[in-house]
Parts: sequence; C-alpha cells; structure tokens
Amino acid sequence: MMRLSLLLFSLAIFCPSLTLAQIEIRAPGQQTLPLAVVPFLPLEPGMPTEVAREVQEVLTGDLDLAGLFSFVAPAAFLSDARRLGLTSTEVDFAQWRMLGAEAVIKGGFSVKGNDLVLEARLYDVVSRRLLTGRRYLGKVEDARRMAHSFADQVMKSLTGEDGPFNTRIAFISNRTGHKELYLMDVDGHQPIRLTDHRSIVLNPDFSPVSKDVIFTSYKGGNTDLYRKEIYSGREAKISSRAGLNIAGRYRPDGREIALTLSHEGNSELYLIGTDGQMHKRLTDNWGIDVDPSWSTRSDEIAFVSDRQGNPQVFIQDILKGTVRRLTATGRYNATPAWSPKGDRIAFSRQEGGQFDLYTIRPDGSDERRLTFGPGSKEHPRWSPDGRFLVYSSDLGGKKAIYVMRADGTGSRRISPPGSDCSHPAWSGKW
Amino acid sequence: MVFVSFALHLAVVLIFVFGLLPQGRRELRPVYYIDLASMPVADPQAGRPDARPEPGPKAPAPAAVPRPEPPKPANKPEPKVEPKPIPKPEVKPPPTPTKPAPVTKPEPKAEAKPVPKAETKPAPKPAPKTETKPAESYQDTLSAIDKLRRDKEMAELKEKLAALAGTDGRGTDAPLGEMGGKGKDAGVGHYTWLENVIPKYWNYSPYLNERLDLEATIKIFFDRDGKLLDYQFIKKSGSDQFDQSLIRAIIGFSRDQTLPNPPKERSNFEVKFNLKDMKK
Repeated sequence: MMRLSLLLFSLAIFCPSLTLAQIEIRAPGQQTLPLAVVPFLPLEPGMPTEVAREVQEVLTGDLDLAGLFSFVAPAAFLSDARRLGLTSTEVDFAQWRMLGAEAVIKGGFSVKGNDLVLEARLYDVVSRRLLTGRRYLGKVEDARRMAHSFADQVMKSLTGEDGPFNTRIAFISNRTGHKELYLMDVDGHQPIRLTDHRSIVLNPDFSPVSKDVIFTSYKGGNTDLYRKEIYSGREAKISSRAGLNIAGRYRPDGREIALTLSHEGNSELYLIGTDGQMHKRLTDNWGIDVDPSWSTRSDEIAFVSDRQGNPQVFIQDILKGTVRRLTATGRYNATPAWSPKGDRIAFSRQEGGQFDLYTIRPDGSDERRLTFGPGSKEHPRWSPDGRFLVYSSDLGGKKAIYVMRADGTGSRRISPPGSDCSHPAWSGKW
Repeated sequence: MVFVSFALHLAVVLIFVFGLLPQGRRELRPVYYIDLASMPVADPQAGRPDARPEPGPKAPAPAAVPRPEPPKPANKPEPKVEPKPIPKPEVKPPPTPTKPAPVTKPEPKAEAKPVPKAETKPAPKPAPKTETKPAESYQDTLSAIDKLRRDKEMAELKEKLAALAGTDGRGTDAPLGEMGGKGKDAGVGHYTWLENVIPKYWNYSPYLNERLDLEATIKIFFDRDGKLLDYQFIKKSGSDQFDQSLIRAIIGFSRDQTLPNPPKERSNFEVKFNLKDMKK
C-alpha cells in the first residue's frame, strides 16, 4: 500500500503530461453566429430567379429578427456560392470558413408551370455537417411561406425550439374607412381582410387549438364578442350580453374565454365557454376590471383594474380568488400580456402623455423598460415561442404594427403605411 | 436678396439629396481581430509590457549578433528571438545603439517569411543567402535610419503617454512580462495566450438560451509541438446549444492555431467556459 502511494505520488510529480491548469473564459468572443445565406440556385437551367430573390429576402429578414446571427456580406461570397452543391461532400466548407462563417444556408429550386420545388439546407461550417434540410413542394405563390417555414427549422435546429416565423398576426386597420380585422404574415406581407362589419372591430385573439379568432365588434350596436373561422370564413356571435362584451382571451387549452362583461352593472371579469355559456364570475369589485391575460398554467389571470385609484396590473388566482397588485410604479399601467414561457408579463405604461412597453416578472420583480423614444407603444402581445413581441406604435403619426425581440431590441415596422393599424395578436403554430 | 436666399435653399437641398444621404445599402463586413499585445513565451516574467527590462544577461543573448553569419535561416530558435523587444532597450541611448540596431533589424525582415517554409524544405535556403548579402549594406543603412526614426517617434509617443498618465514609465523598474510571472522571457504565458485566443473562436448568442448561468469545463490536450490533440468535457453545461458552441470553438481553434513556443512535453489545460461577463 505504501509503495503504491509512493508510486502515485511520484507519477503526479514527474509525469510531464499531468501538467494541469485551469483557464476561465467568461464570455464568448462574438455574441452572434456568423451565417452565410447563399442565394438559392435553380435545380435546372432556365428557371426564373424571382423565387430565389424572394426566398433570400424572407430568410434574411426572419433570421435577422431572431438576433442570433451576423450575416456574411454576399459581396464576399466565393465560387461555392455560385455552385449548386447541396450535399455535405459538395459544399466547399473551407471557403465559408475563410469568410468567417460558422453556418451556411444553401438551397435550390425548380419551377414547372405554377409548381414550385424548394430545397434548403443548413450546414455547420466548423463541424462540416448537415444541421437541417427540407424539401418543399407547393405553388410559386407559396415561396415566402416555404422560406418562413425553413427559417423556423433553422431556429429549431440551433435553439431546440420552433421559430415563430410561419405564423400569422391579426390586427385592426381602418384602411377601408372602417376598423376591420386583418391577417398578415409575421413580416407584414400578404395582408388579408377577415371582416366586413363596416363598424368598429377590436381586440382580436387567436384560438390556441384551432384556426379561429375571437374579437369584439360594434356591428349590432352593442359591443359583442364574435368568433370567426379563418379558412371557412364562418362567423358566430359568442357573447352579446347587454353592455360590454370585450377583450376576450382564450385559455391556453382553448376551452374557455376570459373577458370583461358589464351586464350586471360594473365591468367585471368572467369566464365563459367557447359556446358563450357563462362559467364563472372572476372579479367582484367597484373598480373597472379589463384586459385579462392567462398565465401559462391557466391558474392565474393578469388584468387591469382601477380599484386602487389609477389603472394598475393585478393578478388573480383563479381557484382561490385572491388578488395581488403586480405593478408598483407608474400611475397608468395597462394591457398586460403573459409570456407563453410564463416568466414575464409585458404591459404598457403611460408617462408624460405617452405609452412605453415594459416587462416584469409575475412576482413583481425585475421590471425592465423595453421601448424608448418618441411614439406611444401599446398593446404588446407575445410570439408563440416567447422570443418576440408585437405591438402598435403611433411613431410618425398613424398607428402601425411593429415587432421586436423580447428584450426590446431589433424593433421594426411590419404593417404597410397608409392606414391606422393597431391591436395586434400573434397566432400560435399555424 | 431673393435670388441669394433661393440659391442657399437649393444648395441645402442638394447637399441633403446627393451628399448626406446614404448611397445604397450598407453591407456588413466581417471583423478581424489581431492581437498585438499578447506574445506568448514559454517562461514569462512578471511586470508590465512597457517597462524597462531587467539589466542582466538577457540583453546580449537576444541580440544574437551571430545571426548574420549563420547562413541557416531555418534555425528553430530564431522566431523566439524575433518577438523579443530588442529595440526597446535601444530607445534610451540613441546615438550608440546605432551599430547593433542595423545588424539585428534587417534579419528578421528578410527571414521572417522564409522561416516557416524553410522548416519543411531546407534545400532552397542557399539562394536567399546570396541575394541578401549584396543588398545588406545599403538595405541595412536604410533600415537603420528608418528604425532610428521609428524609435524616436515611439519614444516621443511614450513620453506623451506617460505625461498623460501622470507617471513616467521610464522611472519604474518593473520587469517585462505578465502579472505574477516568475520566469525570464518577456511576454505572456500559455494560460494568458489561450485565454485571449480561444474566445475568438467562440461564438455564442444570448438568444440561443436565455440562461446566463451556464458553465462547462473542457480539458484540452496538446502534443509536444503545441498541436491540439484532443478535447474532453469535464463538466457539461446542461444546454446542448451552449456545449455545441464550445465544441465548434475548440474545433475552430485546433484548425487554425498551435501553441506558440510549446513546452517540451505534452501539456493539457482545463478551460472553464461561462457567461459571467455577458450582459443581455
């Protein structure tokens, strides 16, 4: 035993390869992944290049919003960018490495009549392996959707979570002269009008389980709650009780709707079924209670109430009925939106005559201001993955829809100019 | 008056339209990092980089006067001598060091590039020898003048810098090297070098994972030539994205880098990666 200990001791001292030291690296050299998005090439000669341009634009726009990447300048691309080599043995990784890229997206397409085939691959340049690849079949007009879908795939392969780019955003616009409900892509393209109420439509919210949307409309002279099936176009009035039927929000499992009703006099929060049947009264207070937003576990609801004087955000436990105040600062806090991850609540606060967006933890700690500068920013809503926020802002005059990352960076306008756009809502997985 | 006002307004409009507006879309260019501060040596001494070196046997040794005579430019030890700041001691006595200076200066220039090639193919060496010799006197004079000028400029800059800092660097006796070093070479150790170089290969976005408390430890193994042989996770972070980014960093590092002035034996280091200095 003694000899063994002596031997081990000698080895530890004299064996040169046992030299050991610890180095601590406390931050990465670069906080983005250098990515090259190569223009897609025709799989057969003589194809129109319009598709490639569109795909490139969508991919770059989506991935830029993600904030994960820095893009290698296309002007620096070498010969591999002009060669349709989509397999890992055909891609010249050394070229991309020389350009500093850590990942590269390559793809090809073919068009026959109105049919489009799109093939896209994401490669890890350092380890020289395929991270994800997809082959899409569809119509030429689906090119943008295919590109959004592949951007989601890129996000999934790099972060482990699906991206939100192939989803939809509902919003209210007065471009026809009336406030109607519209639907558009996450980048603002392909807007379509869903309602023709020729009245005032407000407060849309997507069903988490089907392609339905609920909204409030003054169509019948009262503020009633409607549900619309987006693809069939069928529409039904869910709640038309006397007074207000506003700000309906689906429970995360899609089985109930929380909303504000005033048929009993004061504006209170209630739970109703998707068929409009009354399930439960949630609040009972002299103040006005509006804008409910569900927690991820459906056990709590954040809402706005002026029960303590000024509009503030409160949280109510659905089962116990207990209420606690969330926002402790600011004289006017409104439109709470609980993150799908459950860790933060976004809301707008009015200060100096203008609204700005904030987030706060559900326990009331770690409040962070997200927006600065001119323009009132209101109605924040989360993307289904909780990475982004959509909101409306009147920066520049008319209200428009903007998206940004959940930390307040990367803000960009997505709604087309020319009309007021407000009350956005982000769909779930489409 | 009206005409003058009109002309001025027109000029302003033209300036804004043609002069100040951005021309086309700005393209993002890659950023390249060049580290001029951390020259790794095997045996770093303590001190700070701009201080006066210890007056000892070091000065004559690096001077390496025999360099012109030895016809073999492929000498291994040469690279070690080149980075040593031989010119620095010469800054103080400007008139006298003119002789040693020209002798040492031209060589590194002429040999700096051939050296790596010479290691693999020693045969073509004689040619450069004959080429450099005839040009030596004229070239040496030119480079000596150039060096004197640069040294003077450098001394002036240092004086200005010292004045700005409120202290005169020439008055300190701190030796060259890195903090806590106890060796004899001017420069930094392998720890510091790795600490500076590995992050350049580590790209990690905070948007990959919201957690900033991730930490992983990887052991990296180098052979006698300083080449990275292998790596091994001692502790994973629990986030696949974080760990993958570290693997990419190590692979990228191993493709581009070898440990400079490698120790004589195999070596290994434990590298702990975390996000302590990263703020969202």
